[in-house]
Amino acid sequence: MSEIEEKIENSSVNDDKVGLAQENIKGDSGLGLGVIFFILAFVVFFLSGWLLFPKLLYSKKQQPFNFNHRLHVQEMGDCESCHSFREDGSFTGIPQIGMCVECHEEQLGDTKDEEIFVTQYVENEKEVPWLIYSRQPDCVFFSHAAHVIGANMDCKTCHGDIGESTISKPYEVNRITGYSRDIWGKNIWGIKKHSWDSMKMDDCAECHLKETQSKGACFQCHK
Amino acid sequence: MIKKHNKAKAHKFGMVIDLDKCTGCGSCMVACMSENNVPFKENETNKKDSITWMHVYRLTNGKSFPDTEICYIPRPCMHCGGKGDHGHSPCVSVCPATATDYDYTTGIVSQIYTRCFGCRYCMAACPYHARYFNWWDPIWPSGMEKTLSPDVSPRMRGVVEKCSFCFHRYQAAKDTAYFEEREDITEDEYQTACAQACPANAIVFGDLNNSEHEVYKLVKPDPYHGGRPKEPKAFRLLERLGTNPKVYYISEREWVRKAGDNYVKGKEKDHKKHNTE
Amino acid sequence: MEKIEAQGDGDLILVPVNKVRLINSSFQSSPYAVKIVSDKVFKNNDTFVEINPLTAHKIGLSQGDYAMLKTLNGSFKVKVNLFEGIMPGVIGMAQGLGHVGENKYNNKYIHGKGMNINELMSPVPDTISGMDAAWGIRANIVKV
Repeated sequence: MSEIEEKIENSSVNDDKVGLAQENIKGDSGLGLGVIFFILAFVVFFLSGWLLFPKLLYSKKQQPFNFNHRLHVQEMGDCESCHSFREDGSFTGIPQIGMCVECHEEQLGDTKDEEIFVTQYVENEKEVPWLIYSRQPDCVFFSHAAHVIGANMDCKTCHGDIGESTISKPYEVNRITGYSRDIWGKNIWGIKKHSWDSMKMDDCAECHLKETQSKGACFQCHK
Repeated sequence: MIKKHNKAKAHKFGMVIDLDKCTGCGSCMVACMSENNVPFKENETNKKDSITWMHVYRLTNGKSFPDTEICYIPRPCMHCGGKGDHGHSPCVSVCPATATDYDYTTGIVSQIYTRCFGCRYCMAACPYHARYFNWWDPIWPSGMEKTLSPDVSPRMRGVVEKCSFCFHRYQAAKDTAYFEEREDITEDEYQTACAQACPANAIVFGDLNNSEHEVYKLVKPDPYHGGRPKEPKAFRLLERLGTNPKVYYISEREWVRKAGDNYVKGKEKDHKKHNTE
Repeated sequence: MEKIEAQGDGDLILVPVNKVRLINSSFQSSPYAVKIVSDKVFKNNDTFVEINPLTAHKIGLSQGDYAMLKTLNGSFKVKVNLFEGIMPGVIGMAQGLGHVGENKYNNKYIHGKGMNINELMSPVPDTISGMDAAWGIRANIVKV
């Protein structure tokens, strides 16, 4: 006789059914708990990924002292008065203290920041180790002449409203790659509100495509 | 408002090397290596591992003493344009990572080290053996890191490198041109390191599309026949492969011109037929 | 006037050859220059000599063979490079290899590599100027 026929004979099928039913009831409540647990865990990891991880990944550093851009723009003029071009077309970038010393040989105002500048740097003839928000990797060649003079671009388009700022914002640097957070962009979702929110290769390529109908040759930027 | 990209005519940077002037001194090789941060090892006698972007080969005419003649041939990367300059260089066509790309505005085949993962397919494809692989990381003698060129990326092991026609010099020349609000760069603003270093002035570099440039006047490239030189004393290496290289050679000696391509024994007269077309 | 003859006895004449990429004096070539010296001049620790194929055939030497080069001043183990451009009966050896001795200008890229042909040569004082004349010396070369 087959197993089933034996079971029917011995009336043990019903027992099995009952047993199974009981197991099913246990399974139901287990499933509910499992779902709740899943949702909870999902939320925990979602939040840690999107909120906690960036906090851990980026370390905040302060500039050596505060630099008041708005005040200096009022006194000196536009961006070009300090961030200028040399004769061969290369860009000077952040000025060295030679330019600042023209006015700041001694303390002009009464701010603590200027005091730090005069005592620690001017008097010791030491260059200020500024942390550069827009520093691109070493293998990238960027020509300021081509963009500022050639394409008549505004400094703001890539560097943002730094000229209006009265304090230097903290420098957030990616602990793993060593690059400034301004390169990848502050927004975790990757949404750009302004053109200066992120400065990766894709952002350069996007603008190039729009303005010159071509993303450009590889060697245009890669050394 | 952003100004529109200038619609200047596309450049086609190329070289003309006069083989009767070349003395085989090797200054071009040394200048190229120091300009482009090419590494060197303690023992460079295994020429299969030795990286020399510009390489000077020696040819003999096969005759015995006293009729033996030699000829030195400097060979940089040919920056092949492929048929019709459509960018189908052998190396560009095979790269799986698009680490090497053809630029239509300058005619330069660029090599981007950050994309290359070292499969060496391009080395197999190149008929001129112009590509070199970094088997090892570069080791610079102490103090030499200060003399490296800041405009050229140093390469790590595992990437392929080749002559770049010193395009970093092109970038620097463009920088100056933009600053001075000029549309384009002049002939002597962009010269490669080898052309600059050659003591015999055997290497001439310039824009093959510009009829004012020396390179154009020396070889008169024919756009209707795949860039072949109209000048009968000029030739290109392995012309019949159809790679459309940008490096032309000039020689008064017939055997040198014939040595520029391979012919089946007995069919050497194909050479004459080819060059007078 | 006395005629200066090549010294020693031997069937062939050994002459130094100045390679444009190697400095042929006590100065040591820089790494980039040493890198571009052909592997038919020196390879690993072997120094090559240039011999005309006709001469080599008579002696029984082929391309890449090791041979003993002997002059009245000594003998070296060298490798053979056949070259049509050298005169039959003449052996050419690059000058500028075999730098030895300790000094602060030694560079590991050339120091100690190859053999110094000056050790095989025998300069003879020129009767008119009094300076040493060293052009060629009689040599023998045998396959090892």
